[in-house]
Amino acid sequence: MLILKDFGISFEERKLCEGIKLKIPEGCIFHLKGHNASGKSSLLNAISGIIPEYVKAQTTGNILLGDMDLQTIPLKEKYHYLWHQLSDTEAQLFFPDCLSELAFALEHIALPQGKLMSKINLAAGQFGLENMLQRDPSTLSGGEKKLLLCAVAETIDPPLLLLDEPLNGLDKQATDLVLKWLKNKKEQGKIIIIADHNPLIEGIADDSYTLPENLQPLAINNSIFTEADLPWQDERDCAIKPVSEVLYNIEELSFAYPKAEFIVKDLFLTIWSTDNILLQGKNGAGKSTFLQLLTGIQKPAKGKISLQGKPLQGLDSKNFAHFYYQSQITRENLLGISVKQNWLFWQIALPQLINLPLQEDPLFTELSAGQQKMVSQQILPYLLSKFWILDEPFASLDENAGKQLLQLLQYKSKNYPGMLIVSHSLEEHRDIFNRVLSFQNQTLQEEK
Amino acid sequence: MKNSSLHPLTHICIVLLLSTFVFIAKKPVSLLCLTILAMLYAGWRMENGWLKVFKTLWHTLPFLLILAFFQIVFRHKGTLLWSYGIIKITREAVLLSLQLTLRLLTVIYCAKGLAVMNYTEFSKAFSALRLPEELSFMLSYAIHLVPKFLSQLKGFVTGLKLRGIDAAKLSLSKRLQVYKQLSVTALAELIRSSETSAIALELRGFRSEGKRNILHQQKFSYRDIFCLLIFGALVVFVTLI
Repeated sequence: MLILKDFGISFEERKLCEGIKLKIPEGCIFHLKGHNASGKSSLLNAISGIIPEYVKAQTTGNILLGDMDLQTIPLKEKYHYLWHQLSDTEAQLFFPDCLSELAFALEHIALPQGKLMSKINLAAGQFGLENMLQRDPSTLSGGEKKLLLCAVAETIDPPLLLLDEPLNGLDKQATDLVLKWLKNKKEQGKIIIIADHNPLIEGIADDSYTLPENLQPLAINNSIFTEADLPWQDERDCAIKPVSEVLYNIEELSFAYPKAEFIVKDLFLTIWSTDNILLQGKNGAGKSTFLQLLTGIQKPAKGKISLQGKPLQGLDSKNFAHFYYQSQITRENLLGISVKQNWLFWQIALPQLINLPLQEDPLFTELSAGQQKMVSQQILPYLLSKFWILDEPFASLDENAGKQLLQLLQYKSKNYPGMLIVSHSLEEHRDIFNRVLSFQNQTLQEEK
Repeated sequence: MKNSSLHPLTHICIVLLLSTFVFIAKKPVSLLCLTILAMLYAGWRMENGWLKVFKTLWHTLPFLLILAFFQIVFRHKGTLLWSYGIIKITREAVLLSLQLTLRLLTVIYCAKGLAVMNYTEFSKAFSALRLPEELSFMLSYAIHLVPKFLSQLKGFVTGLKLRGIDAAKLSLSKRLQVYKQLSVTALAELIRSSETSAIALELRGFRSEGKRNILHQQKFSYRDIFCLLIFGALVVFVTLI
């Protein structure tokens, strides 16, 4: 049993939570709920020992796993007892190939080589990664990276699993795989604590705990996304209603990463500037890569992409006149180290932008994953007239923030059409889109 | 990185040999030979090696030429070769600038050759010497610090372009301000990511007590010894020319 006795966390003078009392028995899936920045990740960090060993914070109370006080065990020895999957997947992958990622913990357990390989193969097979063992993890898609981390957890197989947003960015098939794995782990008597905004977790959880509102939150407010405030944007110079014309003309497009199969092959596609497109496909199908090809971050191996009649010449600041792109990795959409600095960079790009009404200027490191996502999206209402290319914009957002973003998308689709969105969370909102494209067999197919 | 059948420790020794002897050698011919050896080594180790060797030379050449120019112009002691007004070029100054340029180039190519090694390779090299794995992590991180910093900076420049900011079109003061801010951010990110990597590794038992097994063990073989002996002899020979 995992017991949290009067547990609390505070950062210097800022109290995050206090007096948490939890008893989680073996064979239990426990859902940790709460708004963005309520302290879900911090609580997981405290249980695993990242707080206070690496993140300076004060904790009160005790964390017991059975009879053992987890706080007395150094982080480097915790892998015998727990696995903590961080929400920032990029940060947790370190090695040049997936095999080394899976082997590292087992090497420290000093398993004999035969056993080690069979454990790796079993875990990789369970998550459909058997053909990816030699691949560089940085070339995997966001969903595949999540699955790789689940496979690492499977190889270590400790009694306690702490999972921070394990379903983020996963397609239906991968989500089913992870849910099945979680049920399996539960049957094996493991204690599983999951912090995730995905309602599917609610369905399999045996128990849950909602963290109270953050006692002293760092205010990140995206209320400008609401329908009441958005029409105000119409009066702004930067919001001119788009005209329907060919935005992208793609001919014979092919692309493959080094030493990998083609992601896209001989693709022909036309995208109109007023198209609202939902792009779907399995994890690893190449959705994000396709977006990067459209933005010029990646260059095609073969074929041609024309942007408003002119060949796309790689990444160019002039392209901003036509579209705005947001990567799946939130940090890539932020510049500077704090909220204010990020906005200052926007003001260089768009001098007519007013200052953000900020009372404080939190560092990005002080913000939760969801809050960082919200900060990266603060610019969206000011760029309504542009064609939006957004990769997984709902990832890490809680219900409120997700609703606000949805409202914004609905507003744009009606008043300023023109967007290409990759998301696994918009299945129920297809009405926003006039086109649904799906990646299948190295090409894009239009769903009717 | 290209696959090499040599033990990672052999590669570290090759780089150490080159970067040590380039500071022992004094004659321009010896230094030039060592620089060429370093270029050949880096070209062999890197993906698209020859292209990268050439690119490195192309990018560092202006910096090296400026350094050489200052060495030649401001060092007046020694045998006079040419003079015009207050400008004097001496034999010693030319020699010194040549030494400095070639030594710097050799070190740069050695670093390039070493930077293709990842943590796993450093770990293999140090475990052969029974050194702690922390050292592999630290060295691998230190070696990759500059490439990582540059890649962070490149990412931020991509971020600027995606926001429609063309840094070249900004006023000089604004441009300096932007690059200063981005450099500070890249540095902060570098520190943060090193900490997160350490956390991620410790969550999988890095630095833990007890015996460790290695999946892909590689022994320091006779081939490594042979290769080191030949290369060592070659380096000593060109140094003594």
